[in-house]
Amino acid sequence: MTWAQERETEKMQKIKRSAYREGRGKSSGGLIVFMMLLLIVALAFGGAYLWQSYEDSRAERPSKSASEPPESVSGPEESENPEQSTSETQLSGSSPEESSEQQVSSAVAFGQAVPESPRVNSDYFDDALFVGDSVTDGIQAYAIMKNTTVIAHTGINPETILTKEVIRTDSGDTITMPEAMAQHPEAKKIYIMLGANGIAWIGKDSFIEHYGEFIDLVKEQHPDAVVYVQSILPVTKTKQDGDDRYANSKIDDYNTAIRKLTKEKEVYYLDVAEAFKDEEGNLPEEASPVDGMHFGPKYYEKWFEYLKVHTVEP
Amino acid sequence: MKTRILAVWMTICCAAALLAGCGGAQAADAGKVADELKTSLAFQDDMMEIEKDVLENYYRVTDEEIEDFKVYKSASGATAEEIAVFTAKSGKTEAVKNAVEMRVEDLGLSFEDYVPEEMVKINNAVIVTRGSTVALVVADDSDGAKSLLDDLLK
Repeated sequence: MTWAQERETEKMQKIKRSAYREGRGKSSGGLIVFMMLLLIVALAFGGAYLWQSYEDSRAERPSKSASEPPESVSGPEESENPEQSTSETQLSGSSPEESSEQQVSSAVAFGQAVPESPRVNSDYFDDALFVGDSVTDGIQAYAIMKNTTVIAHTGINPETILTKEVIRTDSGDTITMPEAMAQHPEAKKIYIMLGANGIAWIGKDSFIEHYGEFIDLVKEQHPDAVVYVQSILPVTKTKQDGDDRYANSKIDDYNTAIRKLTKEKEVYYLDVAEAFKDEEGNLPEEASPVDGMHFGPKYYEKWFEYLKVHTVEP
Repeated sequence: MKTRILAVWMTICCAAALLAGCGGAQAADAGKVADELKTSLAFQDDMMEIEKDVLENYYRVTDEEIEDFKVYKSASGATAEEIAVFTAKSGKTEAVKNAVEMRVEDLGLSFEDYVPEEMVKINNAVIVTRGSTVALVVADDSDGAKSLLDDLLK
């Protein structure tokens, strides 16, 4: 081999080595890019998954606690005193964050008495609908809250409210109370109070079954409304002594059943009875000298004062 | 001339007096009649006056139909007791009477299950129409209410 040939061969080998190095360099660079892309995609997916999990847990926590309050403090089965259980719920919780969440959930918990809240003004009742019997009728008779809507009928009870045609239309025909309620789709708060007429002769199971059917219908009719179910009010001692079908212990028993029903139906329970009871748990005699059940404007004012400081955010 | 003017003037006065007399029979003072019924008859419950802006919740009457009214109902809602006296506008007496009859039906719907004992009062409700006045009384003493209304709406 001549010197020139040797130089040519060497040059060719250099070119090959260089080409090989270049080729090798190119393939390893691509691998790095590929690996980095893979890493980015993995990080993106991982991050998205973690974020989703976090969001889900955040979304689930309040609604779960609202419908299923913590067993240790909230179950109506455990406590017969709604106010007591509410206070206990608010006090529970170890970290500041948990405590805050507990308070929010206790404020909206179904199946517990709505706890005290900042006072609202009368205009809160502008878009409210009050539904009930003669006690509720007094709201309009006494012109207690003129800005609100009342659909009431003396004598109505959970058994008859779905079927009895008692509300007059402009044409003079009569329709049921749910039919009349359907004419107020604008209602955003619905206050129901039934029972004073039924406890004397409707068994508790039947009472609750019918009440539940009515609540179902109300929720179906007004899916965006806050539905408050109010407790049955106490009667005077004279009334209960004269007719044990209206004993306050029996009323309390029915109220406990109503409260449990509100948990099942996911509506809010208002223990308005507590605003009416004297130290012995009776309606004061001076409130209802005529029949021991119905009362005058002074006690309607008390009732609305209670409602104003027991509201929930929708 | 003077005699003729005097005669015309006296004729006008007599006509006015006659019209006033007729008007008096047709338009008894609703408030006074209702108050007299309230104080003269016995009621189990306190009777509470119904304000104008909530009247239509109980009686299907409008401003176009009534000139004047006064209504008392059982304050607690525990009884069916009621007093209602309306002065109807011209040509609206029948409409007002229908509204009063409808109210009695509603009371029946309310109390038939709730306090059936009250159905005696409701079934014996007294409705009297004299001229443009329509009056209702739901009370234990329906006979007393009727004779009182006969006197008050002479």
